[in-house]
Amino acid sequence: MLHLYFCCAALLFQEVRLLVKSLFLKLIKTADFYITIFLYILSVFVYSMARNFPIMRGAPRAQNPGFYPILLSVMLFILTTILLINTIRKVINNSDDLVKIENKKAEDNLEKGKSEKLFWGKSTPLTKKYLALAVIMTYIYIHLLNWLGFVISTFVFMIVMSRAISPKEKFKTSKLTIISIIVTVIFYIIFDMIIGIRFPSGVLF
Amino acid sequence: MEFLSLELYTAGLHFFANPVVWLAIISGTFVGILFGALPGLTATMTLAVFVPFSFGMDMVIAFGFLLGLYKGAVYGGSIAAIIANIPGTPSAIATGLDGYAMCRRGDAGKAIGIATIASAIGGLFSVFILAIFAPMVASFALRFSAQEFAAIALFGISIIAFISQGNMIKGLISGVLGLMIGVVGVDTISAHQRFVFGINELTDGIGIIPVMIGVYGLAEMYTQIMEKGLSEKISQKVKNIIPSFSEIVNLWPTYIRCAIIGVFVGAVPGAGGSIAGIVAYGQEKRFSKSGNDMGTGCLQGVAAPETANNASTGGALIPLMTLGIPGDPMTAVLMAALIIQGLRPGPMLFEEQMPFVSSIFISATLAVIFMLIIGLVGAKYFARLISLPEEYLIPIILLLCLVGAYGTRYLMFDIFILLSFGVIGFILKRCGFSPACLCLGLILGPILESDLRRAMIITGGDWSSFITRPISGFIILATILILFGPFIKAAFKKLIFSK
Repeated sequence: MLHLYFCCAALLFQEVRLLVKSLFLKLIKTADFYITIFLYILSVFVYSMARNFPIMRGAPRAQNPGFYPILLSVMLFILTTILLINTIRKVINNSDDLVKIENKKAEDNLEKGKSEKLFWGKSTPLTKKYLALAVIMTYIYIHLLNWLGFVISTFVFMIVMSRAISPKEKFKTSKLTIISIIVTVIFYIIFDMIIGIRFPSGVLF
Repeated sequence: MEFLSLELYTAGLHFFANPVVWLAIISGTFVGILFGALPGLTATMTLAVFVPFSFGMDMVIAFGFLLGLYKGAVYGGSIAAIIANIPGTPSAIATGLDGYAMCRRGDAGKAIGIATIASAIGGLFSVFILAIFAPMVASFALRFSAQEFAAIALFGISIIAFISQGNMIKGLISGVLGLMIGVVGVDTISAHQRFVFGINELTDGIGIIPVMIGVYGLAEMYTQIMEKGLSEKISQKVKNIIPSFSEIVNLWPTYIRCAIIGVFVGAVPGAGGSIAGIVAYGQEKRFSKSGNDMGTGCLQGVAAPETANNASTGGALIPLMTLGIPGDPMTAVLMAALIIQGLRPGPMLFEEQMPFVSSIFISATLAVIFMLIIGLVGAKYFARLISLPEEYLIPIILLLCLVGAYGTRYLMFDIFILLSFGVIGFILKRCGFSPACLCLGLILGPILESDLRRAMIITGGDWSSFITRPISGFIILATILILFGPFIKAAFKKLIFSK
């Protein structure tokens, strides 16, 4: 008799395991899943930090600096759980309303009559490279500001950035240089001379 | 109640003896139309990018500039919508339907002309309503205390979450994230440093402006870089902009209907110009005699959404100025501008800053008039801008974002905040979270926290006071109805159909 129970339990366990596995495999293809993990970590982090804030004795709880952050972290935790349940439900129902991170072109989906939401949208490998370059360039510009000052780094940024995000065949150096100079001069006149923002002057100049 | 007098409208007149104020309004309107007309640069983003530069100005000049920017950008979106069927700003979504049809027929000039005049009529009407109703709401709101303001802040966040992009949970999560960002820095009640991690720059909190420019400006530009080459560029010569007198006058029922719709939709917190435009277009189609022709390129189809989206601008300023909650994402940015000027939007504004409030009414009126003039004279030139190459435009906007983030506090740290939130905003947006809710949470967060905690301290930790006080109880009830309304409706339907 006990034997039979064990068998049933093992079978059931196997079934559940497979189900969870297939669900999980689908889940990790959605962007929402990663966001959910991040949000859980954030809410637990905020909660544990706020728990350690000082507590005023004899005063209403609302006077404690941790009162409101704890409230927020609990709210975030609840909302994230709802989001996770929604996501799982959508994965089971195979709903279109999921943001997926597959590398599919949106046009392919449109042809099939499906309107999937994709994290990477209508991007191509080339435009993803542009995006990476743009973020890196912005980061470098911030450091350049401290070294080269506003005028030179702005000029450099204009040239490199325009160059980075445009297809090579369309590219004309002379036109780009002139436009970059004009933009730099206009920026300098408006922001430095008229509005009077004190830019870092740079180590070199 | 004393401010319900004529003095409210004349107290700020003396500011306008200063030509700089006029110049600020004109340049604001011009830049607004320019940016609004460029596809991809939304009105919200335009405001976010330019708010930091208003920081150093006198507040009357700053708000003249920003109001011009606001009105101009909402109108400017129609130009791109008509010429290329790309709404320059979300408010112009409905304008493209008939506007682009007219453009293909060769009537682009006339469509822009009607759009300009309709925008001006809507804009003037909304300023009129704003000037009449804002003082009334404010005098009512003066009776509010901490409970009510906390309830209103909550209401503001929840309603925007409800409207944003169809996913309420994600909207609410963005709102809570915004609230959390607002917690960073020194706690105003206990003076304890929260989530500062030993970084000096964080003691004042994370700046609203760099975050806003990050999620609206930088994130938007990154999206455009990633999805490059989408917009097809169509340029048509725009001529005969000024429509005939009878064409303008014959549309009067449209103006009246849509201006009223626009102001009301605008005044509802959360519903902005784009919703106003779409609602007005739909209503026009239903009620107008020749409604069946709409979509094929008729004048009403352009006039209706344009009247409404400009009328919504004044409407959206009502909750901002009187209650301190923004009517739409654009007024959320304006609210940030008020806060960095050291003003707290709300009913006290009318008591303490009456000349300034008065100057807002006058500036808004002037901005509409300049919009009409600049629009009619310059539409041809703005129309040409649409074919400006992205390769040059995107770096310029990125630079504007960077300079703007630095410009408010002269801190390099703010530029890093900008970049971080540019990337965070990009990821969140791609996953369907609304940047508007994040910004709203960020702006309303400190207000919500201080009002909530003050109310709790006064009552000795008693939550019930939020419900037992009639006004705050009513607002909380409204919030709950809005958040759970769809579920309640579905439950009712089930109940009825099952019987």
